[in-house]
Amino acid sequence: MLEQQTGQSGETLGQLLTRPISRAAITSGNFIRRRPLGGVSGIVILLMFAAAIFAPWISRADPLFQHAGRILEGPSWDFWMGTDHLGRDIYSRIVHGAKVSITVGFVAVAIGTGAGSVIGLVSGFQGGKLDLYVQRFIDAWIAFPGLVLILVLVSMLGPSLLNVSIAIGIGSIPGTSRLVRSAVLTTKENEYVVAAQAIGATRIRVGARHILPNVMAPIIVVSTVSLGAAILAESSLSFLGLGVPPPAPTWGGMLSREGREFMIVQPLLGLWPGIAITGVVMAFNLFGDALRDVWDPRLRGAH
Amino acid sequence: MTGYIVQRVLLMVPTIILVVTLTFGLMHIVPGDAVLAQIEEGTNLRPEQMDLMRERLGLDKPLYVQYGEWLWGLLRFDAGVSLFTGRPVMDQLLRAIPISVELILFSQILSISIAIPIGVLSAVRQDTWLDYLLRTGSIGMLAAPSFWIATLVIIFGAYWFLWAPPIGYVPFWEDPITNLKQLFLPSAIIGLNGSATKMRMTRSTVLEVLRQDYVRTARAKGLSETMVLIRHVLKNALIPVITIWGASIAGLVNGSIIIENIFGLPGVGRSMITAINNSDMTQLQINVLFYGLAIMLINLIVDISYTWFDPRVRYS
Repeated sequence: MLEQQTGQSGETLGQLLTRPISRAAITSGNFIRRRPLGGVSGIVILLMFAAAIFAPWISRADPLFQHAGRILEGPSWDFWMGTDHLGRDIYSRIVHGAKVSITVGFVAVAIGTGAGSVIGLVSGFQGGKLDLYVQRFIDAWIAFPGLVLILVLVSMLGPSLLNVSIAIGIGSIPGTSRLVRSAVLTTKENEYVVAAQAIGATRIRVGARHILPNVMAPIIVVSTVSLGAAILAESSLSFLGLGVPPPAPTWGGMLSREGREFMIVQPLLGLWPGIAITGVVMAFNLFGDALRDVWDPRLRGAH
Repeated sequence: MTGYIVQRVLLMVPTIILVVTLTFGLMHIVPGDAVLAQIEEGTNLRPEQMDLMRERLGLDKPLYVQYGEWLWGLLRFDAGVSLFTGRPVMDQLLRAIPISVELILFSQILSISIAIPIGVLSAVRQDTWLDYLLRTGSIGMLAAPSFWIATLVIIFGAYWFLWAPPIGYVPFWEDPITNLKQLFLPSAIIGLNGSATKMRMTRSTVLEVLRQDYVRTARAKGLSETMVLIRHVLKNALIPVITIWGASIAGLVNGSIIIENIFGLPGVGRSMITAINNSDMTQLQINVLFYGLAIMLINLIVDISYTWFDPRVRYS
């Protein structure tokens, strides 16, 4: 009975339920075949997510526990990447560091892309005086180099996981809003938008139903690239000693002054966190590039 | 062209005012007493010293009076005294600017002299192993944070060659050789990081220009491939590279702040981090303002030079 009800084209309920999953599998399969580099990057990103979520299971050692008498060791069966100057397991610190990076990255991008998209959408769609004033404000905002803005905000708010994320997010608002605005400006000229306005759709309806869905692709691409940039910014802050405060394990912090003098004794100490940062930032950039090529060829060559 | 420049400069005036206001706003995003609490925690000042500090910062006055006083001070080129050293912060800034400027200029000379030849080479040898190698290398260069590269240079320099970066800074006019030696590595690290985008841009524009009709004409009239590249391709391919370069300046500044701190160069970035660590509000404020205004000025120069390089923009 059930089969007859649902199966307009002869599908069973089971087939209907698995369809989205198999479709996703086919889509991602296509993506990997068309953009192998993007596919590999996607896998690196998934691995990092896994490391962040399952950190306590992937690495059983406590990232803060100081193994007495086993300082600055090289890689061994006990410590896959060796130990630091306090006898802490570096492999465990790298895995748990992913959690800090991912958390900061996501909160920052939620703030930056969220607020940036709203500003860009409203400013571009409304146009006129509002657009002019908002854009002059963005001009001034964008004049501050990202790191300067982030450093000042963190030093004012005080370093904590949340404040670092907020500061990085605020730093990425102007760039995102510029990009969304320019996408809105081109979308606005399309005939279906004019038609919707002609049949009397409200401005909010046109904005939400016709403009927003058509600028989603650039928004998703820019948030992927922003995630990489946010992780880089977080590690730069931690490196300068102004990021998420110790003893939390952060990739940037592991490279900072605190650990640098011991790297002369154990150079591997300076290698692992850098490989982690470079790999992840590269993966987000390449993945963003691949998404852009597939979804929105117009954006090619833009950042 | 003069009209364009005048218009562009006039458009900057409201933005400058906004940059000044934003700087002030950023510094007062939390109530002043919260900042003082940070200082108190770090230094254990007596209550009457804290009152003196509050008075010196003008925190006993309403916000708009503080803003007005700051503006008035800026007009007279006086941005107050450092909370940490007690000396005028403008003097400190003016001492630091030439060092940062030299670092960035040097890094750009290195960056361009690496990026453009490599980009052209990569385009001319499109889809060969050399092209793939250069492109992969550039992606890696783009992702590797400059502070990691700098850390590696310092630790492996010490590990293998017993070499350490020199401490202190010698101005160019006192001892040019020592100065250039000191700045070479920091500049090279900033430059390499930035050369990746320029190299990729050069490659793609050269590829585009190579397909143009006038290049075919140039070849058809018997010009050697080198002459075609220099006379016809490069000249037209470099315009978008200049735009990318202008857009990359803010990123360069980010790099210079970190590199100055690693190599102990007393530039604006180092002074800024020191100010943050000392909770030195007045010094931080003027350095932030400097960065904002400097980026605006550079963007102006890039825009104007763009019209000079590309006549199509000039006459439109």
